[in-house]
Amino acid sequence: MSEWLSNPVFTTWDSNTSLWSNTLITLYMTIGTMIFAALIGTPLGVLLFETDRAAGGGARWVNRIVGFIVNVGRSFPFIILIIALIPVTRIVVGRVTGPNAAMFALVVSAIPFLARLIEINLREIPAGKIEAVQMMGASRWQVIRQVLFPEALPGIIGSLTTTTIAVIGYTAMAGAVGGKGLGDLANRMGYQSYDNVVMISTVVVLIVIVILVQSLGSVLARAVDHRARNA
Amino acid sequence: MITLEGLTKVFPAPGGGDPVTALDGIDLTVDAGQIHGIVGRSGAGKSTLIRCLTGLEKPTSGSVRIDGTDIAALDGPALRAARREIGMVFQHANLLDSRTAARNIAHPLEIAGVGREQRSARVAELVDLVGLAGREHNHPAQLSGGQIQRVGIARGLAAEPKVLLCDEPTSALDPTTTRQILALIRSLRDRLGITVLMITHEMSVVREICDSVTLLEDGRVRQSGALADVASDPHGPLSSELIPLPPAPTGISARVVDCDYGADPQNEKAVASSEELVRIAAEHGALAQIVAGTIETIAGRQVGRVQLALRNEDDTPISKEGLAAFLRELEGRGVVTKEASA
Repeated sequence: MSEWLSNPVFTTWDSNTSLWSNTLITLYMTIGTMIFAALIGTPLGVLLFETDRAAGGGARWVNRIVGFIVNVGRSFPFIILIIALIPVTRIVVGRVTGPNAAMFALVVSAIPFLARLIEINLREIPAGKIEAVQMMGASRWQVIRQVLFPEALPGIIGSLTTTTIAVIGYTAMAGAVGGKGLGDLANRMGYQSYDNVVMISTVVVLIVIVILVQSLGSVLARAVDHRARNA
Repeated sequence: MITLEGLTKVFPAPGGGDPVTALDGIDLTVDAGQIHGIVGRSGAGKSTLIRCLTGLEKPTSGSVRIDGTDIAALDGPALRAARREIGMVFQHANLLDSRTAARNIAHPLEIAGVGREQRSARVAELVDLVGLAGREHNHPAQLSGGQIQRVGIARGLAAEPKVLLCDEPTSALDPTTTRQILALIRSLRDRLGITVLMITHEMSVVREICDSVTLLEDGRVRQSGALADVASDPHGPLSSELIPLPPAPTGISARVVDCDYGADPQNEKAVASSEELVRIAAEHGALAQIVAGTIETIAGRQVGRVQLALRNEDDTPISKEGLAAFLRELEGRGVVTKEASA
């Protein structure tokens, strides 16, 4: 046991070896990514939904173009995306290595993922409910704010939860650009250096984080869900 | 209050085939304060009609006037403003699950920009009006089907519309709840003087609360008129649906006559009950027995379709001449007769 506890993974704060600092880095990248992804991905999901519903020819084209970009974004294997984005990362972030550089690629990857999930959430609202509010004389913006968001909120929280967990998984590849984090630690110190203590402890911490995120998401979703339970 | 002129709606065929004509030159007038029923089979154009009335569909041609405003010609903010003058009640109420009953009822007022205090005062009023006191803070999932529809009706009335459009409001409800909801709609009309357009496929709904009725068939008006007129017109397609005649017994030795009668304010001699028919037959020396029939009070007037078996005292069928004289008298008293093939 003392052999375990004396491992540098527990005793140091150096981000090359420490479980603690890498946990914080993973949390930082995940939370930062989700803030940007939610701010951009949610409106994009609404745009996909609204342009699909609208009758006008202009809207159709917007839908096709945005849909295409989203599909391309979702097709890239993340490890390829993170490398391919390096020139863009240099412009946007200012540097090509470190957690912030990795976070940029994570955001680019999470946006289309989340946007599609949000679009699916909105599609689940019965069309009659939207029309009922339109017939009250609601504008498009009023429909979005007063019907789409509140009615789809339980689903949207589920989508944010799912995306967060996917992003935690993707952070493991942040090491490719020197982003550090738990996945990178497990890979370098645990896998490549045959250190089972590092391997097991990082995986346990990741499991705990994922369980906490999922539980929080489920509790929140249930709290805002007023639909009939078994209808 | 509601005037449709030559309302036509043609949908392009989805597969590039022949276009589908959902509505074909509908002319219809509903006076203020009336409850008007639109009946017809599925696919007759009822839903398209109601979507044209709220501007969710643009008619291909014709006009849709509600209180003088042509809904079909409006767009954007003007259309949204016009929609606030129309209340709408749906088959499944279409309440928002995320809102309590009270907030669902307040929704049209929120959209119209009514202030918070005025809103809650109006909601309290409406909750009382539709009989929902005590349930206003429940979410729809915690309410019964009848209560949900009461919320739907209160919401439809919230912005004090002049017209209430009801799209199959009772089709998803059980018979008892249906009667309660229909009674509610009628009492609201009586108290508020609102004009109601009621789309339904249930003849019982029409019998119960409509003042006038229109039958749609293949996108056209097949028959339209005041309920009592339509019900007592034996040649129209609606009377037989409104007052179905049960099958008559066969193999009786008598002359059998179908009689459609109904009180008529224009004709004080009009036969207003089946007892009167029997009495008139007796005056002609015949024993009349009612062998089949439906008798109802529609819009406060007794109307009936009965089948009479006419015999002499000695149990033989009455003579042709006797029958002719009897039928002539009935004709003068507003009864439509038809000799049934025995």
